[in-house]
Formats: sequence, structure tokens, C-alpha cells
Amino acid sequence: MFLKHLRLNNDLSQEQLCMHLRQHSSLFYNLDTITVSRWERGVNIPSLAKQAEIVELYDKELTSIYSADPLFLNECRTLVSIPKSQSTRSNHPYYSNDEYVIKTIDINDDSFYLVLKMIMRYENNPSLILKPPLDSFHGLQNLKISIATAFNGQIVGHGLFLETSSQNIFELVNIKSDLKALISELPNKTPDGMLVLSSAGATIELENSIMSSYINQFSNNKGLRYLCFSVCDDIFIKKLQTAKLEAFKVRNIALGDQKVSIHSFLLSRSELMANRFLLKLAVISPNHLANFITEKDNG
Amino acid sequence: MNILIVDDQAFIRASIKNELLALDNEHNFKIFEADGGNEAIKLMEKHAIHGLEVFDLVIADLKMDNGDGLAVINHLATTKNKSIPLAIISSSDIRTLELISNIINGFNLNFVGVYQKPLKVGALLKDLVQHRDKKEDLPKVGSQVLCNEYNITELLNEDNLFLCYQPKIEIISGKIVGFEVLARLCVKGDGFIYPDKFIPLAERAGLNCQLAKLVLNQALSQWQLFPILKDYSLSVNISASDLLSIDFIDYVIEKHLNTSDIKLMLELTESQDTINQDKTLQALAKLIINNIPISLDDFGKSYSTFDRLDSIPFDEIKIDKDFVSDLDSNNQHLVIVESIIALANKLNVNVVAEGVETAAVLKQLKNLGCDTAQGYYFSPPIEGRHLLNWINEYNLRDEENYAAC
Repeated sequence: MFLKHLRLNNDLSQEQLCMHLRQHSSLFYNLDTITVSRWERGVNIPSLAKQAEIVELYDKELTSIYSADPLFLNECRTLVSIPKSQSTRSNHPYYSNDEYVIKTIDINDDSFYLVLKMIMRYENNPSLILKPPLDSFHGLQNLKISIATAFNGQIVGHGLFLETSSQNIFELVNIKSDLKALISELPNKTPDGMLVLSSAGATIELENSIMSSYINQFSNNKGLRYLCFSVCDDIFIKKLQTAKLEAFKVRNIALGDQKVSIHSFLLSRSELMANRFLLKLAVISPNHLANFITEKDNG
Repeated sequence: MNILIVDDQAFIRASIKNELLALDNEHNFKIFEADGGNEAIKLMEKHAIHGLEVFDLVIADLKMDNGDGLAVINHLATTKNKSIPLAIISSSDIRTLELISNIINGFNLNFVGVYQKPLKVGALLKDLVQHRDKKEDLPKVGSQVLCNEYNITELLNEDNLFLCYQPKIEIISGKIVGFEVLARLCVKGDGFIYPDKFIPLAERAGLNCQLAKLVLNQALSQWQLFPILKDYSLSVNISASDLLSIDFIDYVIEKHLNTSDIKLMLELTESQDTINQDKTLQALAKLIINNIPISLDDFGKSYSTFDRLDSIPFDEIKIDKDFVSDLDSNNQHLVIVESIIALANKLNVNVVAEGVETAAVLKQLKNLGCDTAQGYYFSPPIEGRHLLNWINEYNLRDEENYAAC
């Protein structure tokens, strides 16, 4: 347990740590040294949410602590590394467990518009129309895309996201409008949130890698307080639900004969850290990811 | 595929049948007809008893003379036929259809959808296929339950309790007036469990007073640790059944006496039966006499709210977020919110709109004369350790906004 390290590094006795926590956080208003000693001996461990509270009181982040933990990194590895066996189901016709690379692009990349159009068609979210013709890309400069490409530049996974103010995020989540017009009209406030509009991968490991590409960016930018998903792709919604997340809003919009349900999920930094699955994805840096992908899973 | 069409008008049955057969490329549709709910039920019972064809789809009209669509729904809900896919067709307006969908979903039937007449058979068949695919994938989700009636006793303790605070903002001035405490339970590695899940469980296990005490203690200690917070009111949720415990009421009053510099308020959540009992009214009176104001939470959600307004001198009513968050696009909700605000103003009670997410909704509320707003527009619930920072930033922004005016 890292708590003992933290305490010794700050030159504190168990009593002092206990007092310090009691004085600085109402979560620990009743804390006693017996509990602290139990934590250190691993008899019982505080929940991730409380771990985050403790380490932040000492100016550290839970992600940096866990990224230095080889056992934890191993757990991260299994989420994204390519399985050796070919049995994984892939929903891409030409892809099964080959190597791939992930990069994040924005409006300055030549392929941006093409990939964006592809993602919009994939997600088919009626509240995010991108009205052609697109004479200028103005307004889309905040939009970012993560793409995973395998051999021959085939796209086998993507994520569409932007950093903006949380107020803008709630406007976007609530309003039915043209994406481009909407983004360019939003007041320019300091971004304190990340909004994910589409996220997908051909295999489960690829889905995880794509998620880690933006969740890691989120976790590295301390100014970002909220991570919001607003998506209508059933596969991804199910994935979030399996990760024990619940939508705070579901909007049903008619699209031709069909009904599309846009699910919106909201997570504060603490909520993200408190969820082991998301914490693992947050810990995976682009470097880790590249390593995990190339060294095939050895079991 | 065996399809049963239930409609009291022969020409509608015929037209649906013809369309179905036209789309039946593989010639495997077998169509059955019934001219009312009663006949349909008889037919389904007969098939079940004699082991005849199992129906793969029932298409039923809502309004019929001899047993309506609701009779069919009831039959399906109470028999082994529960798994038969059901599609409802109707010429009723969209709100009635929504109500019907809610009823059917409440019964956990194998529900394909409601369709306005004239029925587009192609769309229905497409939905049926999609519906079937979804069903097959379903069991994976939610198979692991974090919190249930068996482990709630064990989960509900100080170690797992994690409080967040959501600001209440005075609309006219933009000033922070107070915070509502929102409880979460954090379980190792699985993130947070939210009140909509654990409160009903705690109530059923008889732990609600214990929960309210834990929340009260942690929240009061937050306000004690950071005295700046004493400028703002602190709202703690209680349920009507908490009021039945004299011990609990005494506990709250004593706590309040010991921390009388904290503006404590209790938000009473609606619950049908308990509220108008003499005992609860007495408890409320006792709290009010001891300078603990009461706020009526989720106003509009339950049926007997007016009753309550009459018998209890509330300080505040809170309009449920379901009515507020889309009032700029849902006229129905706008009308409801408008009347609650008017009512509150006439009764001289402070009115809080919950679920404010966008600038447009806030503007509407301002025009309607709503006093206070709460919701994501201002901030999602904030963890205790970030609370002071948030207040500082908000107040700074506020000053800038005023300077800009």
C-alpha cells in the first residue's frame, strides 16, 4: 500500500497523518490511528475515491501513484494488449488482432474532414448533424479525433472528442443542432471538461485503447474536471454500462422510422478515479500504450 | 411466424394482413385474427391449453369494444404468455402512447413498440428483428449488482460515505445562497453508488435514520472545518419515514443547537403514505419551532403535494428536475413549472428549480419569477475538497460579469 510511503515521505507519524486528514477533509472527521495502521498493513484499504482524496491533500494524483505500480500496470496491459489467440471477435471485416497505431489528430491534419465524416456516419447521432457543404472548417478547431490504424492505413477504431467548458458541454448535450454552428457559437470559456461524442474499436482491446487515448489526455490536464460522454452507439453505451456507469440523461430522437436514444454520462475526476476500469485506462500513457500493443500478450 | 392481429375493425385487420403477406418473402407467416381483446385472450388461452401454435407476435389496437388493448396487456402480464412480443397500434395522441409504453414496460412485457395508425408494417417488422437482437445481448449488462438488499447494511457506513455539494443560486443576483448535500457510497474499485439506488434499499432495511445521521455528521463537519461555508445554507435530505423516529428528530435538534451558526435546512423527500400522519406533522412542527426550516423536495412528482402545502409551513419548495431540464422545448413541462412558481409566489414560499442545465432554461425561469436555481448549468455536485476553490472561482467570475454589465 502506497500510504506508508506517502506518510514517510512527508515525515509524518501515523498520529500526525491521522490529525492532518481529520483537519483537512470532512471525509475523515472520525478517523483514528487504528484505521490508518490497518490501511498501511493492507488489512483494509480505503476506496479509490478516498485514496484520491488522501493523495491530493499531499499534492499528488492517484494516476501518478498507480502508474508507478508494476502490478497495476500489468492489469492495465491486459486491457489493451493484443491477444495471442485469434479468437477475439472483431466487427471489422479485415481486422483481427493485428498491430495498430493510435494517433490524435485535429483540423490541421489532411485526413481530418474525411475521418470526421466517417465518424458522423458511424455514430448516426441526429443531434449532431454536420451540414454540407463545408466551405470552411472554422469552428471545428477544438474538435479532436483519435484514430487507430492497422496495415494499409485501415481505420480500425476512432474517438471523437473536444475540450470545452462544462457549461458548453451541457448546451451541446441538450440542444439539437448543427455541430459546426454549435461549436463555433459557443462562448470561449476556459475548458474545464471533455466531451466524447463517439468512441469505437474493432475489438474489445481496441475499444479500450481508444478510450485510454482520450481518458489519459483528460487525466493529464488537471484543469479538466468533468468527462462527459454523449453517444448513441449501442455497443459503446453497453460498454459504459458494464463499467457500472449510468446515464444522467437519455434523449430519444426520431430518425426516419427509427428512434435513436442519445445517452449522456457525466463523471467528475473523482468519479473517474474511483472506477478501477477507468483508472486503469487513465494510467495508460501513449508510451505505455505503444509498448503494450507491440509486445503481444503472453497470457 | 404466427401473428395475431387484434382490432375491432375488419378492414384494418385485412389491410395489416395484406401488408404482412406482401412482405412475407419466405411464405412462413401464419396470420390469426381477433375482433377484440376478449376474443384475443380466449384464443391465446386456447392455444396455450391445447398446445397449438405459439404466437410470435401480437399486434393489438388500444381502443376496442369487446375488451380493449389494456385487457390484452393485463392478460399477457399475468400469464405465461408474458414473453410474446407485443406491438400496440392506436390513433391516440403521443402522450397517451407514452403512458401506454410506460405501463407495458412496467409489466416487463416483451414489448416491441407503440405505433400510430395507419401502421407501417415494414417498420414494425424491422423493429421486431432489432428487438430480438437486443434481447439476446441483454443479460450481460447489469448482471453484477453493486448494491442490493443483502449487502446494504454492510455498505452503509462512514468509511463508504462520500458527500458532494451542489450549489443553489439566487437567480436575480447570481449569488450563491447555499448547497444541497448529495450522498454517494463508494465501493472498492467500482465507483460510486447514487442515492436513487441505495436510498430505497436503506429504507427497506430500516437504515434510513442511520444514513441521515451519517450524512448530517459528515456535512456539518465540512461546514465546521471551513468556516467560510457558514455564509451559505446547508441542505440535508431526509425522507418522510425519518420523521417517524423521535430519537432522530431529537438528534437533529441537538446537533443544530451545537452548531447553531450553521444555516441548516432539511429537504423532505416525498413519500406517499407517511407524511400526513399526526406523528410526522408533530415532528415537522418540532423542527420548525427549533429554527430548522423545511424544504419540500421533488415538488410535482407525487400526487398529494397540495395537501401537504396546506398543512405544513414549508420555507421552500423544489421543482423536480424532470420538469425543469427541458422546459424550453417541452410546453407541457413549462406550464407545470409556471404554475408551481406562481403558486409558490402566492404562498410566499421560496421556490427552487432543480435540473437547470442550459442558459435558455435559466432565462425562462428568470422570466417566470423563480427565486433559486440548481443544476449542472452552475455546477454538478462538487467534492468537499474542491468546494472552497469552486466558491472562489464562482464569485470571481460573478464580479467580472457584473463589471462587464
